[in-house]
Amino acid sequence: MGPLIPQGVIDGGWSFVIALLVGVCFGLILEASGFSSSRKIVGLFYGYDFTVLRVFFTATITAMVGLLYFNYLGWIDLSMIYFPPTYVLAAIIGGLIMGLGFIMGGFCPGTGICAVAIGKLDALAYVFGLYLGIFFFSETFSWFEGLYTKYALGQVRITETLGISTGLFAFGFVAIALVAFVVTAWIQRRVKPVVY
Amino acid sequence: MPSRNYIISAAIILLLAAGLIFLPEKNNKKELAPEELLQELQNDKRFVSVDQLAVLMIEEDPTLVLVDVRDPGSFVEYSLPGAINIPVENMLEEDYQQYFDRAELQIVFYSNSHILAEQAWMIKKRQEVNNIRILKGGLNQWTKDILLAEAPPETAPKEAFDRYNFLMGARKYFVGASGAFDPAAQGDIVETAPKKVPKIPVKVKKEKELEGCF
Repeated sequence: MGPLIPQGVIDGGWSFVIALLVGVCFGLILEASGFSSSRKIVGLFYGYDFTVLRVFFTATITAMVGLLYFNYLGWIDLSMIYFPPTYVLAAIIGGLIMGLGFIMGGFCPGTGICAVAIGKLDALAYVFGLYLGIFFFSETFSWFEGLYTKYALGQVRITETLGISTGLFAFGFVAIALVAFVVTAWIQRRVKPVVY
Repeated sequence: MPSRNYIISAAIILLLAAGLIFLPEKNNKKELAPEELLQELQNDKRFVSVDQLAVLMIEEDPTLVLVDVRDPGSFVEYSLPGAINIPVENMLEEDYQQYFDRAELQIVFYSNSHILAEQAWMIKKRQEVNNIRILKGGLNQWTKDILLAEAPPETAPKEAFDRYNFLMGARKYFVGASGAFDPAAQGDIVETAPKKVPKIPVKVKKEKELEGCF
């Protein structure tokens, strides 16, 4: 049956409407979870608040386990789902830059826009910088292109690289997530609580 | 000690994930079942006649993609105007998939007869590409009908004359104003006919909007 748009169940013209609805819900949940607060976001780096890690790990493992069962039941064809290709070097460098911006600004792109929506001025400056960065990168892409495309692996799956079954990997990932929950809860109990 | 709710939900997700280990790997490869392929082979819907194709070409239907499935040598020697060359043995190559991802195109396969084209059609059919038709009789029929059409006997019904007139018109269109087909002049047709596989502006499905972060 799914994915609905590539299979023609829903017309492709609806994709932006659906994206808007999903985006609004996503923003609502981010805001409701308190992610528009930069103190909560950077709490992950300083070790006093691991909500970000917990929320995203939970979302990932729930979606992953759900999708794999849906795939098995034939409700969704996972082979039709797009996933981005892997650029090893670009991912490492980009990840470092993003992490730096993350901890300096106290927002990640999505939560930054959430914070703009509730009227935070620092977030406004952050999002302005974000677009400036996008503009700068797009205009000078040809300078970085060699770096960007170096060690491009194409669309690879970790299960293929490791040679293990998808189910086994999913189980391992869930186990890691649960261990991370326990460990971060343990750390959080030992770190001086930050009130904000 | 974490609350009971946390322990229960953690146990549920762990159990569900453990269940995944025992699920068989699902093969999502799209393939037409042999029964369905047989059924498809038993009707003539996959064919397009020389006349129908000539109409499409004269009208310059923008959705028409003519594919020569013969080897490149034969393609260079003679091919239909505007055709591209995808030899049968290269049918599965990634480079050509852009043509087969677009359901709005009318793809027509041809070869000398229609045997080779049918083989190519069968390969694509198994991949569930449903917008391909085969030129019935292939280039042989094309030559016979368009280039060498003979006037029907005087006693023939009106339809036969109508078709003859149409074919003569098509011959003029494809061969030139004289309307006469001279095999020696084939060289002239050839010079204009073969084209390199054009890069059509394709929005490749895979490269959709990249994923965002959060």
